[in-house]
Amino acid sequence: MRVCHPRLVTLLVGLSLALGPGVMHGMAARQAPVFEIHKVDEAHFNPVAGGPIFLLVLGNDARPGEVISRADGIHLIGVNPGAGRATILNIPRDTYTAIPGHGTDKINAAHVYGGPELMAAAVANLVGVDIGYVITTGFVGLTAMVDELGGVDVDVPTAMSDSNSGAFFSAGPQRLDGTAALALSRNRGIAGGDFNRSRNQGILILAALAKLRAEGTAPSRIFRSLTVLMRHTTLHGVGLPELYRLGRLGLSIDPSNVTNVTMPGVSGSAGSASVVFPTSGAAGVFADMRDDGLATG
Amino acid sequence: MRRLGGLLAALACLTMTAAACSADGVSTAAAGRATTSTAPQAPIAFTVTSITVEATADPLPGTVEGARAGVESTLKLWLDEDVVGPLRSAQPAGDLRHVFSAATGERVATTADRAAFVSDGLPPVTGITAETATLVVVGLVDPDGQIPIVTVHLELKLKGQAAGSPLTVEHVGDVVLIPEGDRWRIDSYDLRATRDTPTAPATTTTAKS
Repeated sequence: MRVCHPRLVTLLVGLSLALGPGVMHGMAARQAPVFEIHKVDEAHFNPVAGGPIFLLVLGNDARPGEVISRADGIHLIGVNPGAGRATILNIPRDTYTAIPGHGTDKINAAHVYGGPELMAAAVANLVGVDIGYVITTGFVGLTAMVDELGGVDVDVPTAMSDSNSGAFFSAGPQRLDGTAALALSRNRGIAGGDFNRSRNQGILILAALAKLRAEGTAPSRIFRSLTVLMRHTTLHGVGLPELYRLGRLGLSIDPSNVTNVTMPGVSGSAGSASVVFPTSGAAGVFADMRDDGLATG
Repeated sequence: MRRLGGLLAALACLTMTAAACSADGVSTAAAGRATTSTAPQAPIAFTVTSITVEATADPLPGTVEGARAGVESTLKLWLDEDVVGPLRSAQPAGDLRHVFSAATGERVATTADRAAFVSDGLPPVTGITAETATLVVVGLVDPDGQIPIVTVHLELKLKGQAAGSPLTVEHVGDVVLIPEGDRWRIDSYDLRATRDTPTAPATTTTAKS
């Protein structure tokens, strides 16, 4: 049986778009990229007021030295710049769906077949939106990054006691260090299993965004953050002005204006595999996001 | 010939009189209606008080100075043609696209954000001087040593006389510029403009993209 490796997709939006300057101290010696940012849509990134922008945030399960990995944390983020609002759509990794060129499979297999680009194609096909960028990470170094941020403040939705992930929390607001954030993002030993784990990853994204916004959003501050980010990021088709726009866009959104939604689905089987089938409720969420990037949850 | 000579003499006299009574060469007697510039205008220019870079690689030789010169040139263009010039002439500024990137220029030209960059609708302003005109420049260096984007914190405070009353015009905030086409152009902004005169309530406009 395959062991589920930890994922830190939780921090990608905040951390990858606007890493704090404090991160640099703990990360300076690391050379391997922690993040990869792929531009999917070759169209110029040029948001129109009111027009949505879609980013796909992936946490893969690669351990140090591994090349091929599955995307186990899958978050489609719709940002509506005109409204100053966003939606995080958490997609269960076992979602059974069409993968362009590869039939029907669990959605996270797309990462094995074709990397971030195919993952974007699969998610775009599932939801019915155009995805402009894909941000991926493994868990290497992210625990340290959370620590360098001084931890993140999270309202843990339910008490947890799970030795597999190391998640031992009481419910309620608390500051999580890197190890604790990692444990929270890994824990499937909760009611709702992977659905609620995915939701909790969304909660962590929002916590990181809040922490980073509190540190400042002036352009010079974003420049500094981008410099830190670039030391640990491989860019694929994304230039610095574009990266700046992304960072500015991310930091412009107040976390209280972000809806954290997990795709409605039901567990089932496809052959011998346990999978998740999107329900009609999922279709409603997808339709909701298509026009303006936002879902009501 | 005699009549022409008399006209020239009168014009020369008017020119000398106007130059003597106005700091920037515009007759104060003409305030409130169309004016004629009769002498060189007092130069108003930004001073770059600091330029730094955020970098993962050393900038290529000349890159920092090139970016500085380009950014300064664009903001000087805006200052001359869209701020000071229209203040002096009381004519509306143009559509500003010459100093903005294509997408951002469209936004500025078609939304209320324009008001953060210009001071349309004022009477002719004379005696314009800059109390503050500073730029703090930060460049972002890419792994190839190029600078593809720069942020500038600008503070501009102009003083003058409009319709016989003192007027202060301020533009304060951040602009981000990228090289596009033939020059560096403003791609995003977070700017506040204030016009203050004793004869009317101060107006403040903020614009952020």
